[in-house]
Amino acid sequence: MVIYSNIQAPKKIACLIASNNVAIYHRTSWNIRHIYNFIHVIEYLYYNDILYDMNKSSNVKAIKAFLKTLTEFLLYLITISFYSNTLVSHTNRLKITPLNASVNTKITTFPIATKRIYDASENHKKMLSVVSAHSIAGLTDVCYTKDGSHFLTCGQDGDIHVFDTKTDQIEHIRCADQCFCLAVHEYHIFIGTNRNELEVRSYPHGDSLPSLAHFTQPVSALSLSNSLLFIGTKDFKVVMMNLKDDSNKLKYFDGHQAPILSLNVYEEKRWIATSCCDGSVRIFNIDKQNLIKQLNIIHKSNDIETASSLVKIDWDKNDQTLAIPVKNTVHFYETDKWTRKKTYENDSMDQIINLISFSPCGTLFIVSYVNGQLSIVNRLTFDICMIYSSKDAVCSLAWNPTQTNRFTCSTMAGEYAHVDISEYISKPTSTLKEENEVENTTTISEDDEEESESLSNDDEVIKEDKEIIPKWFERASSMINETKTVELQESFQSTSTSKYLESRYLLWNNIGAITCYNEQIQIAFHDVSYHHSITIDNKTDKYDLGDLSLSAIILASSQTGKLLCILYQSWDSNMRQWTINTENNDKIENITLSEDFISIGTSQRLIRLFSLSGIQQRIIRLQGPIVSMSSYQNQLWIIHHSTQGLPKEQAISYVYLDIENDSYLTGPIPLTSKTKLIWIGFSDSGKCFYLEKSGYLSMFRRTKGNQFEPLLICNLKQEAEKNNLANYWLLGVNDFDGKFQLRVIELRGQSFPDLVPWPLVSIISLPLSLYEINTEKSQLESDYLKIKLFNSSTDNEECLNNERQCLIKMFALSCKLNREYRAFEICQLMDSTALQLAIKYSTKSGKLTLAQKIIDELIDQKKDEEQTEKEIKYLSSEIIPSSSIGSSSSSTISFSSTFEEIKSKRAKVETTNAPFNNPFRKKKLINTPNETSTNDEFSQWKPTINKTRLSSTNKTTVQTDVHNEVTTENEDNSLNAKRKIDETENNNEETTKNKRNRLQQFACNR
Amino acid sequence: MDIDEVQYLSENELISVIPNFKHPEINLICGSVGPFLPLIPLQVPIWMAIHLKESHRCRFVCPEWLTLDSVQELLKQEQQQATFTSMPNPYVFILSQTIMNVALEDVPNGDQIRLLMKDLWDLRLAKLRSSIGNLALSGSLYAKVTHLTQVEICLIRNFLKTSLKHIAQLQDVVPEE
Repeated sequence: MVIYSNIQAPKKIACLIASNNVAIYHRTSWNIRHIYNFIHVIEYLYYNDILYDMNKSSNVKAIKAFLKTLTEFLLYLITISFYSNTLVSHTNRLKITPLNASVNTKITTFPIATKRIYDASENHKKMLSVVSAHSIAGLTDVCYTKDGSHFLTCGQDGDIHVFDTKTDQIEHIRCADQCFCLAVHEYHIFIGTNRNELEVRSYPHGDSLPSLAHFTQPVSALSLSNSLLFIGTKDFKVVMMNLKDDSNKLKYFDGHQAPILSLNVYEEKRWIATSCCDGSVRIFNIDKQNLIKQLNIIHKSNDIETASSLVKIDWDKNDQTLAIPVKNTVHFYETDKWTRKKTYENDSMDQIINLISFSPCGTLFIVSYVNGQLSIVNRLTFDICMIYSSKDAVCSLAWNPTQTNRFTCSTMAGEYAHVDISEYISKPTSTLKEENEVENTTTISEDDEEESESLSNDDEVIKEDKEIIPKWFERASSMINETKTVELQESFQSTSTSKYLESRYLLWNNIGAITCYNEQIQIAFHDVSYHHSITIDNKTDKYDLGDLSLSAIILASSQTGKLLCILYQSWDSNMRQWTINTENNDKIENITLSEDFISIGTSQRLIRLFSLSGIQQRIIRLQGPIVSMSSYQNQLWIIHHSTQGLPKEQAISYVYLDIENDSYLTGPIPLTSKTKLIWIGFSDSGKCFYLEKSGYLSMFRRTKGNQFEPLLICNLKQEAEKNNLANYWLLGVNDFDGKFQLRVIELRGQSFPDLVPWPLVSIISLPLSLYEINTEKSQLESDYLKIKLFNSSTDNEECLNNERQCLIKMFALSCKLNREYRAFEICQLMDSTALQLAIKYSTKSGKLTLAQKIIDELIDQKKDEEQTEKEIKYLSSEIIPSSSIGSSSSSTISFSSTFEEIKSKRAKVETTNAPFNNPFRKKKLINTPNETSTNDEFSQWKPTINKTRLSSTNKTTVQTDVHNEVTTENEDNSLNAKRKIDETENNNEETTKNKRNRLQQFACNR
Repeated sequence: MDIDEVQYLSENELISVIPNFKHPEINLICGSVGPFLPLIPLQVPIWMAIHLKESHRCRFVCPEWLTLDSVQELLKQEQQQATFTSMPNPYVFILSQTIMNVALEDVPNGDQIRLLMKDLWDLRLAKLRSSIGNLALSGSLYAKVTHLTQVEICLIRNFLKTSLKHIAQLQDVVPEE
C-alpha cells in the first residue's frame, strides 16, 4: 500500500510513505509540470485506516493533526538520521497505487529521479593530500599513459611533468609559456599550448616534433580514444584526427559558437559530446559528423577563463547516460531520446560543479565542486561515500588505467593528488535493504514525457529552487552542516596585523614597532633617543614574524624557516647578529623574545629556547598546535590547541613557564562560544591577559596556591561601540598601582590599524564589566575591584589611601540611598582608619543606629585583627627587628584608646586571610544566627592560634604562651611598643579568660 | 597689536603631540607640561610643539578642526550665511598656517585643507570688506560684527581707524545741506 500525502504545513515539501519507508521530496526539483500534477493530485490521504479527501473531508481537524504529526515526525527522522548516519530520503520512480479512479486519470507515473543524501558523518570527510607540481596557479591537466606506468601533468607555467608511478621519478619537459591540456598516445604527447597550435612532443623524452594542426586560438580541450584524437579549440572548433591514418585529415564538427570547454568520446557508439561556452552541450556522430542532440543547459560565458564551471562531462557507459554538470547538480541524460533521467544534487552544497567522472568499475562517480570539494558518489544510490576537500578546485581528473580503483586529479593551484577509491567500492555505505529497494525502484521502467531542453524552462526551475526551500528543511540541513570539523584558529603573534595585508605590523610593543611593507622590514623605536630606526631588506628572507626587546630584535620567516637575531645593543661589535635555519620541514609559527632568551614555537609542536647569543637551551613539547606565545622577563606563556572542544568549539590551553623559578603550570583557557583568541600578553606588571575576538578581555590571577584563576575584566568591543568606534586594537595593559589602563589604537571602520598615517595610541581606562555599570554604585564597585585586583604591593600608602577613599565613597553612597545593611557590609571591608571616618560620616548624616552598629561590632574586631597581625609581626621580627613596628603601633594605640570606653563587648577574633586576597569575599559575620554562640566562638578563634604558627593541642595555654613570649622578646623595645604590648596582654588575658569560659561551656554542651 | 603679536599669542594655544622621547615634567610659567612618554599623546603649547617638531622629537596630532571634513563644513556654513560664522578657534587661520608650515606631513590631506582655508579666508575678507563698505555708506554710528578672528580684527583695525577718521574729517569740512 502506498500512501501519498501532500503536507501543507511546510509548503515546499511533499512526502511519501510506503510501508515502513518515509521519503521526503523537495517539491521544486521535479519538473514543473509534474509538480503541478502532484500538487493537484494528492488530495487524499490515508491515516488511521480512514481515507480522507483533502479538499472535501469535513474532518479538517483530523487532517491537520495528521499533517502536524507527520511534519514533526519527519523532522525527527531527519534529526535521527543525521545522528545515526543513515539517510531518510529515497526517491526514485515509483508507481502510484491510485487511490481512486479519478485520480488515476490525472497521473500515472511519478517521475522523480532526485535523491538527496545527508551524509553527515565526519568520517566521510578528508583533506585531499595534494602535491605541488606547477609553480603558476591555473588550469592544470593530468593524464595517464595507456599502460599506467606514467602520468603526466601540464600547467600554466608551461612545463610538462612526467611522473613514473612506481619509482616516483619525475621528468620535466619545457614546452611553452602556458599549457592548457594534454593527451598521450603511444610515443607522442599532444599538448594544447598558448601557441595556437597542437604541439607534439615525443614521449617520454619530450623532443619537439612538427605540429599537427594550427588554429587561430589555443587548443583548450583534448580527448583521445584509441587512435582518435579530438581537439577542441578556443576558436570554436572541434576537430577529429585519426592518428593511425597518416593523411593528417581533419574532420570538423561544426556549430559551436564559443570556446570549447571539454570533449568526451563514446567510441563504441561513435559519439562525441562537447561542452561549449555558448551554454550548450552537443552530441555528434563521429562518422557522419552530424549533430545528434544539442542541450542548452549549461551556463553561458564568453571564455574558458571566465566560465563559472569547466563543465567536464562524462558518459556513463553502464547506464547509457551522459552526465552533465549544471550549476550544483548533475543531470543524467539517457541516450535514446536524450531526456533527463536523473538528477544528482547535494542539498548542502550550493557550489558549482566543475567536473563529473565515472569510475571505470562503474560503481561510483566523482563530482568536483569549484570550492575544492571532491565527492565520491555511488552511481546508483547517490550515496556520498567520501568527501575530499582541498583549497583549490579540482579541474582535471584521470583514472589509472591499470589500477582502476585509483585516480589522479589536478587542481587549479597546479597541484595533483592521488585518490584511492577501492574501499568505497567494496563496502558501499548504504545498507543492504536500501540497496535492494533502490535497485527495485530503478528497474521500474518509466515513460515520462520528453523533457523540454529550452534554457528558459530550466532557469525557472533553478530560480524556484532557491526561493522555495522551506524553513524547517533549512534548519534540518543546517543541523547537518554543524558536524563539520571545527576550524582551529591559526597561530598568531599578538599585536601583528593580518598576514594577508600588503603592508602590515609585525609587532607593536612598548619599545617600538616592526612594520613590513614594500618587501622591507622597518623597526621603529618609540623613543628615538634609545635607538635609531632600522630597515632590513625582506625580499629574499620573507620575514613575517618579529619581536623586539630592549636588547635585541628577532625576525623569523615561516616560509623559509630562517631566524635572524639582531643584538643591537651588544657591546661585542663583532657579533651584532646571528641567524639559524630550521630543519626537517619544521616551520616557525611563533616567536617571542624575553629578557634572557628567545623562544620559537614550531609547527611540530615544539618550543625551542635559545639564549640571546644563540645557544640552544631546551626543546619543550606541546600537546597541540601552538596558537600564540608571549613572554615577560623570564616567564613564558604559551597558548596551544589541546583536546577536542565542545561541539563546534575549539579547546585552547596554556602552558606557563617560569624559567627562573623553574615552574611549569598548565590549564585550559576559558573562551566564550565560537570565538577565537586575538591577543595574548603580559601586562606591565606581569599578569597574563588574553583577548577574544568577541571583545572579552580576561585576566589570569595568581591564587595563593600558585594556580591561575581566570577572571573576566571587560568587553573591549562593547566599550568601543559605546564610543562610536569599530573596535580597539589592543597593544598593552598597564596595571601598576591599582590602575588599569589599556594602550589601544582606536579603529574607525577598519579592522586593523593602518601604517600610514602612523596610528595614534590612546590610553583608555575601562570599567569592569559589572552589571548596571552606568550607576554610581557599580562604578565605585568597579573602581574598588580594580584597586584590589591590580594592586601588587600591599604596603603602598598611596594605594591604601585610594582604597580607603573608594570605600568611604561607597559607604557614603549607600548611606545616601538609605542602604544601611550595604553600608555595614562595606564597613567590614574597611581598615580602622577608614572605619573612623565611616563612623563620623554616619553620625553626621544622622544614621546613629548604623554608627552604633559599626562601633559595636566592627571596631573591636578590627582592633583585634590588627593586634593579631602585629603579633605575627613581632614573632617574625625575631629575624628583622624593625623600628617601623613601633611607629605603626603608636598610631593604633591612640586610636584604640579613643574607643576604649566605647568598647562594651568582649573582643572578637576573626579568621583573616592575607589582607588582599579575595576582595569581595565578605569577612565572616560573627553573629550567624544558625549556629550556637559557643560553637561560633570556638571556630572563630581557632585560626588565631594557627596564625601564631605554633602547633599545640591545648589552645588556651598556647594563647597565653604566645603573649608571654611576645612580652619577653620585646622587653627592650621602645616605650611605645611596650605600652602597646602591655595593653594587648591585658586585652588578651581578658579574652582568654572569656574563651576559657566559653570552651568550658562548649564542653558542657557536648 | 599687529599680526606678529597675534602670531605670538596664538602660539600659547595647546595642541596635542606625540613625543618620541622620554622626559619628566617640565615646569613653565604658563603651567607644567609633561611628563613626556614615547608615543603617548599629550597637550603642549604650540611654541613648544614647533620646537619639538623641528628637532624631530614629536609628531603633531591633527586638531579636530583641521581635518578635511571639518574645514569643508566650515566653508559650507560660511558660504551659506551672510554673516560671519563662529570659528572653532580664535586663531584658526594663523594656527592652521603654523601647523601646516611645520608639520604638513602630520595633517592628512594637508594640501587640500590649505586650499580650503584660503577659500575660507578670502570669503571672510570679502564679507568683511563689504560690511565695512556698508557701514561707511550707511553712515550709521556703529556696526556690530560677531565671530571675527583675532587676525581679521588686526588686519582691519588700522585701516578702519584711519578711514573712519578721514570720513569724520571730511564730514566736518563739508557743510551739511
